[in-house]
Amino acid sequence: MAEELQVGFVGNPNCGKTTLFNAYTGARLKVANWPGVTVEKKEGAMKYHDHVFKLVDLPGIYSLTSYTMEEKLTRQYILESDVDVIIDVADASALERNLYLTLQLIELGKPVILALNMMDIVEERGMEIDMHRLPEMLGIPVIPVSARKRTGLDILMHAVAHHKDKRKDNNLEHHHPEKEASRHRHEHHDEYTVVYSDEIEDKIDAIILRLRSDGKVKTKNYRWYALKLLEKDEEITAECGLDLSDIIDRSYETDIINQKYDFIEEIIEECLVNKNKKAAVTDRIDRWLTGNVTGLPCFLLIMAVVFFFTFTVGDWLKGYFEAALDQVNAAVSAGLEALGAGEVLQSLIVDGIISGVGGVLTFLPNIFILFLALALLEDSGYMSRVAYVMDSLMSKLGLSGRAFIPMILGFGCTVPAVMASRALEDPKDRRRTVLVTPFMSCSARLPVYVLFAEMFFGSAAMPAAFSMYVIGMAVAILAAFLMHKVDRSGGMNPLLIELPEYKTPNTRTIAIYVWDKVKDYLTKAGTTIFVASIFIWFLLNFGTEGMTQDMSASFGASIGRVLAPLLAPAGLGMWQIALALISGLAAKEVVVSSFAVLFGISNINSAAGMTGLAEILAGYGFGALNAYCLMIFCLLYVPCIATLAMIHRELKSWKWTGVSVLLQLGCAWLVSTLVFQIGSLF
Amino acid sequence: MTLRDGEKGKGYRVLDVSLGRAAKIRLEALGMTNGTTVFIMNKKRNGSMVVKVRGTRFAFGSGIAGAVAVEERRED
Amino acid sequence: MAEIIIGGLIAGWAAYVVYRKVKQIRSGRYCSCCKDDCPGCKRK
Repeated sequence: MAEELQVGFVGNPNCGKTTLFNAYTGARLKVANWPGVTVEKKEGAMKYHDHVFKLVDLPGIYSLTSYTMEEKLTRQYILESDVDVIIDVADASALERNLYLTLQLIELGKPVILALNMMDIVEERGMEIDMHRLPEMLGIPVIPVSARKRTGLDILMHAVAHHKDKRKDNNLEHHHPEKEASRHRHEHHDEYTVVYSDEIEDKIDAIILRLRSDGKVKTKNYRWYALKLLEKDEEITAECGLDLSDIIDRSYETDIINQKYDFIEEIIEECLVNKNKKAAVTDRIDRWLTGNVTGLPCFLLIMAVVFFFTFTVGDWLKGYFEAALDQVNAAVSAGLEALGAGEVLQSLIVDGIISGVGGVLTFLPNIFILFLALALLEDSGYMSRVAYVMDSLMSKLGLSGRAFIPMILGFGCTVPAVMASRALEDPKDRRRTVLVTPFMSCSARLPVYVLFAEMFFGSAAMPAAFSMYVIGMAVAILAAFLMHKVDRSGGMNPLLIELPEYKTPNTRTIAIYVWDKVKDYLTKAGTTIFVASIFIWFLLNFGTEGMTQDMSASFGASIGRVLAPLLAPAGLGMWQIALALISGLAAKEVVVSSFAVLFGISNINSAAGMTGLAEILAGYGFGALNAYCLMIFCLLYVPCIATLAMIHRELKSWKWTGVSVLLQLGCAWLVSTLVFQIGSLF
Repeated sequence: MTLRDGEKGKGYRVLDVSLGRAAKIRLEALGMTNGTTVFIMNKKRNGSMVVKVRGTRFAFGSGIAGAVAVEERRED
Repeated sequence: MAEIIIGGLIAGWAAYVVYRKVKQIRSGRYCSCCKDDCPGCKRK
């Protein structure tokens, strides 16, 4: 008979909880050290013999107070839902700190199993954990696992299946040899894992007596409730409503926390052998990556390396895509001819769809490498160091280093970057971050850079494109700085972030993440870019008199001509460019598609395509400087509609969304014009 | 003295944390309780630093560093 | 004849894409990267 068990995964951030969860459910969950990523609970299911397990992954938390959303959510889940067993995932190599949460979980009263994750690291370091004594002292089963190496997974589930009905193992063995004999009435050591000082135990009893006699409070766990009251926990105190000020004369929170840690120290003393004394590799690496002088240069260097690979490896792979596109082009053209399809349809398909979508698809290798690099940096643990390194700069802008993390996310896509700004507590800081993040060049703009850099800068293509990222950051920082000067208010955002141990990125995690991004890209090509290409093709091939042969008489041209004069000072005064930029509202990659359709280039990413386009553009007086200014404009101007919608949602006001748009357009125009005017002097 | 006055590479014992309740409890949950040893791994001129507490690494800004009262510790 | 089919398919697909995009934006899922695990999508 199949029995259904609900199992909750709880644990500190960075303990590998989500990796472990993934290993069981095979679900696509992003593994990151960034705040605000695993906020909602994730659910999955699995079969174990004749049990069906419903697995719930809760957010990473350090403790169970009621201060943050994540903690409240977890607490509520454990106390009020039908969860049968809690798996407390702990990083075995940082046991001391992880146990704090374990003790709190045990006190909640539901069955808990401690899963010691990252045991492979513990072994590598030559540390040993006494797996016999530890469960004895804690009173719960302790199962060693390694989510990375996928060991111990079965045993853990086996323990879960059997632990459901055992409230507590009866072999709690715990002595306080050196402490004075307790005056407290009861011998709690056989019953409770954590036993407090006499003073506190007395108060607990008194409170429980009062609660019971009063009868109004209904709880399944009186001891826990009493402890929370003693800690002056906001939620519980408000809920309780009883006046216990004679017993609870002050907050005992610090005492309780300290006593828990005293107990943890005892456990560590007894159970942890060979505590790692030599400087871990992490410390050595951090000396460089977080050093005062070396931190920032290292960061820029790492960024440069990332983009170097994005270009060189990306380009090498691109060759195959280009060849494939040529084939498809030829085949479809031939096919359509054979079918006797009309010219209009042929043009739509070949000049519109295939040029537009195909042009974007050939950039997939670059995108792939970019996301691969970002995923590697993220999974290795480096990203949190970035927050620290950038903190001193950020604080000059009135922000904390934490505000830089959403900005880095912006290198992938601005939408999650804008969302990540929610992790900042002060609304003014959030707003500033949201206004400034779009300047961090998102991956959709990359095809534009690659195309134009390679067309006009030859061997200097990579630095030219990389400079976009640098300019983007510079503008973002400058804008934040100016905003800060104008409005000095906004709370102190104290930086407090954990720096996890460096680890070799997990292949599986990376693969899942990158594949996700690749799929997104392909989907985008097949949907948004597909439709946008058709629309542009239509605009360019139809005018007031019906279908036109000459594009400059089309609707598109009319639209472009309205804006072209405004762009002239920036060297971009062609209606085609204006139209292409407008089309970028659908998705930034569409700018590339537009150029392909506008100038009739069938394989824009190929050498032939690029040479062809460069020649045509040269005919208009469009050269390297113009190209650079175009790249700058693309970097800074409004992002795609999806992002604008997201910005509006975060800022919650049309006024500020308007400010955002004006800011972007203004900066784009200003900087590109400046560059063009100054560049033209040489 | 506070952590902000501390030196890189040295260990200190926490005496008191004078921050708002929420921040204080957060730090305590991370292991920075009275009597704990804190090692300063890296420190910037503006006071933000990377520390190791109970085997775990944290980075925090000068605001927090200045609120943690400490005394020097003579062992490693 | 083949023309009409092909044309129809293209038009149909395009219409479907637009419809889905509009629905997506109205329901608060702003981005194609928005999946179940994207914090902003489920957070209100």
